[in-house]
Amino acid sequence: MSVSRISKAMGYIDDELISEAESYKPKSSFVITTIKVAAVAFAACLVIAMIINPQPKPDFTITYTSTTSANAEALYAHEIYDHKVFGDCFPTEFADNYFINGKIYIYDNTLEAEFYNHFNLDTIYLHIFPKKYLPQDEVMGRVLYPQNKNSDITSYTWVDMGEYAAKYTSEKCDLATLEGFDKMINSTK
Amino acid sequence: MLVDDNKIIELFFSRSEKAIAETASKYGKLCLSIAGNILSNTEDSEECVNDTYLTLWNKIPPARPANFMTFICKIVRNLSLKKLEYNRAKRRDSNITVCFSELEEILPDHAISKNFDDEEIGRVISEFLKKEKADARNVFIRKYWYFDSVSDIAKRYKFSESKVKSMLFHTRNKLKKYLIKEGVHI
Repeated sequence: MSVSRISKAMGYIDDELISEAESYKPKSSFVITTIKVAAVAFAACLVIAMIINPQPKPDFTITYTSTTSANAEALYAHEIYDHKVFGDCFPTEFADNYFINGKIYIYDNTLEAEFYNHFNLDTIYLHIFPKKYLPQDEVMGRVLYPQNKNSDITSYTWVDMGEYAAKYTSEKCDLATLEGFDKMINSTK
Repeated sequence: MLVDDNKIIELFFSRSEKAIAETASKYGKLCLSIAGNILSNTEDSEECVNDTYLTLWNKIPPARPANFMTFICKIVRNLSLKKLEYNRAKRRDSNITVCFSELEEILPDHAISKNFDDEEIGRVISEFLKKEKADARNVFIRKYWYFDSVSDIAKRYKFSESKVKSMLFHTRNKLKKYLIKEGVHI
């Protein structure tokens, strides 16, 4: 039998292929299996860790600290109504004698604003954030009062805004009786 | 200690007979294995390997191979194939005959386009092999370039023999389709 042309043609394959076949060492199936097992085990551990210790939700109970995050977007009052996410959630009217204090901060899909009353020196803090972060035990639409007597706040309430929830917190006043507050929470677009 | 390939080439350039001794020391076993795979005869294989050293002596200089190992392997392979053709009348039962018939299934001589010479077909095969997975590629080259047996390939790469056979089968079929696509097959 003569040497076929295809066999002779094999003699012209690239040098690099020939030298590779001489020095080639396949990846050990043991190593591959071990890597796969380790990857699966790691993924399983990650899932268990997330179930046991879920990702911390934003702590909206601390309502009176101004946002100083470097990543925060700072808007003036007149700019907030054009904001594509929070423009419709922000009140267009405020409780009597309250005015926006400083800038409005937006960070991590959360809005933070302060309203100040020069007469009674009260501050209302507003936080708007995705409803999925709302603590499960919180009640919407009712004025609530902190259990801790040493708390720095007097009252707060949660307002349902569709995909978002808003939390209004007053330092010194009872929101249930605060004049103009109903008008404020119903004034969103 | 084995001498660096560049130093061996320099020995050839300075026409030192030590060049042959160093080549034999470093690559003699490999050359004998390639020739043995093709010829299945120790005497013929040793003759081919000695002819390889002579060819090297005549080619270097002026040639200065970039990859000395591949250069010498190609020489011993070509010389062994020529020797096989010379001996073919009485060598029908050798292992290499089986290898050739497997490759002829991919592309029998009468089906190869006349527009392609052997070198061009080699280039097309190279392109194909570079696209293949490393395991399949190297098994194929061990089989059809070095003419290793399935059991030797299985030992070398620590695969089962059935896995090697299966890889060869699939790579041959894919190569056949590739050659048809590239117009090598008429």
